[in-house]
Amino acid sequence: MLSLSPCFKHILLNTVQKEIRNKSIWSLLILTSIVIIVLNALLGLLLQLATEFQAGGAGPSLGTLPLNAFFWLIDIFSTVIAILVGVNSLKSDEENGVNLQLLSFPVKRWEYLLARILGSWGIVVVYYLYSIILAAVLFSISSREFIVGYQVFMALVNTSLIILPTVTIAILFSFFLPKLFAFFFSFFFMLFVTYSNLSVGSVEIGDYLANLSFFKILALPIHYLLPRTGTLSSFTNALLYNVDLPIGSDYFINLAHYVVTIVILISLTGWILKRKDV
Amino acid sequence: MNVIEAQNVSKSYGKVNALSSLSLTVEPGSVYALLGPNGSGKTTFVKSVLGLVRPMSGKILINGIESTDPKSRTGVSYLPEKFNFFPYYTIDGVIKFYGSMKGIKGPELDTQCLQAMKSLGIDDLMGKKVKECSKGQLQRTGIAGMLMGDSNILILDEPFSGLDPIAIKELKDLLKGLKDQGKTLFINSHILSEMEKLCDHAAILDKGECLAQGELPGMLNGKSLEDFFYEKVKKC
Repeated sequence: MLSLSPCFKHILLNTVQKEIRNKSIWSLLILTSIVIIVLNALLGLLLQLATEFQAGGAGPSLGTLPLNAFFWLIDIFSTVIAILVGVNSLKSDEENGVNLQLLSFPVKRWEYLLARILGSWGIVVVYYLYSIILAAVLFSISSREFIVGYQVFMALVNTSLIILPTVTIAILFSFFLPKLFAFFFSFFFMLFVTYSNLSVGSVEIGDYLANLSFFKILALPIHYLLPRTGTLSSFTNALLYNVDLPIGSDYFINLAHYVVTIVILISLTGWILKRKDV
Repeated sequence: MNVIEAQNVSKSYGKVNALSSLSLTVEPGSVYALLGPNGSGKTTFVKSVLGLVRPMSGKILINGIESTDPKSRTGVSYLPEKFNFFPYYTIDGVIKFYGSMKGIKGPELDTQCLQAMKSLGIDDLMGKKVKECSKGQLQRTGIAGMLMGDSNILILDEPFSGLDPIAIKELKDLLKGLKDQGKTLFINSHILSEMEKLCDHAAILDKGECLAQGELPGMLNGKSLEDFFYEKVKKC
C-alpha cells in the first residue's frame, strides 16, 4: 500500500506557497487577462462595424472564432506557465539551498518530487480555470449567448491532464540543464510531442511506416512511450470547436495509455532524482 | 548501539576521492567533531550520513537503520553549512515549517517556536523576512529550526561559520546545554579552538582519508588539538 509521510503535505503546501509568489506566473496571468479583454472588445467592435457596413443586410457571423482564439491563446499560455513552474520547481530549491534541508527530513525522494509536481500542477490548473472562465464569461456577455457548458468543463479536465506531463518533463530537463535552456528545451520538446501525436495518430500505422522520414522515426517512440498530450489536445479542440478527431482516436484507449505513461514518466523522474547527489 | 556507524564509506567525484574507506562510530550522548581542512571530505561525509549523497561503497547506519532508508533520519536534525530558506518566509515561519515537518501541530508548534527563538536570542526577529536577515541571524534561525521537536542526533555542518564572537559563545553554551540533555552532537568544523572545548570525540580527515580518530583528550597525547591536527595534516 502506497503510504505518504506527514512531510508530504507540508512540502505540497510549500510548493503552492512558493509558486504563488512566482512573478512570471503573475505577469502571464495579467497578460492573459489583458489580452482576453482586449481581444474580446476588438472582436466585438469588428463585428459591430461589419454589421453597420452591411446596413440592412444580414450581419456577418464570426461564429465561435473569438472563443476559439481565446482557448488557443489560453492553451499556449498554460503550456508556457506549466514549463516555467516545472523548471522552477526543483531548481529554485537548489538555488536557495532548501533541497538539502527538505531531504534531510525523513521524506522519500519520490514523495518530495510528487509534492512538487502536484503543487505545480495545481497552480497551473487554477491559472487555466481562471483564464477559461474569464474568456467564456466575456464571450457570453459580448455574444449574448451562454457558452459555459459541459464542453468547457471537459476541456478543463483534458487540459489539466496535459499540464501534468508538461510540468514533469520540465522538471526532468531541469535536472540536466540551466533554467533558461531547460525552459526552451521543454517548450520545443512539448511541441515535438504534439507533432508526434498528430503525425503518428493521424494515419494508419501501415501507411505511416511506408513513408518514413527522420522526424517520423523520432516521433514513433515519443508517441508510444510518452503521454499523448497532442492527442488529448485534439480531443479538447473537438469538444470546443467541433473539429473532427484524428483516426483511431478512442478517448478511453488514449486515457489508459496516458495513465500508464504518466506513471512511467513520473517514476523515471523519481528514479533519476533518487540517484542524484544533492 | 552506536547512533552513527560508518563502515568503509567511499565516494569520489570523477577522479577526485572525496572519501576513502572511511569508518567511524559515534556513541550516544557524545559530541563528535569531524575536523579537516577545506576539501577534506567532511561535508561529503555529513551528506552521506543524511542520504543526500550516495556512497560508492560501504554503508552508514543511523540508530541501526541504513542511511539510504529515510526512516533513519527520524530523530535527526541537520544544520547545513550556509543555512538559507525561501526569501519570502518569515523567521518564525521557517522555524514553524521545521516543526511541522517533524510532526508538531497546533498550539504546541507556536510554543516550541517561541521557546526556540528565545533560546537563540532571536525572538525579536518574529515576523521579519528571511531576505531581510543577516548571515548570523539566518544561522541562528537554522539552529532554532533544529531545536524544534525532540531530535536526539544533531548534525551541524560548520555551525560557527558567519557568527560573531558573542554569537559563537552563545552557540557553544547552547550546544553544551544540548549535550547535558543527552543529545548526540555531530559537528563538522575547521575552527579547532572552539571544537576542543566542546567535543569529547574527534576524527581528522584529509583528502577523504581518516588520519586519526578517538576519544579526547586521550588521542592528543598531551598536545593541543591545534598542534595535533597540524602535525597529522602536514605529515599527510
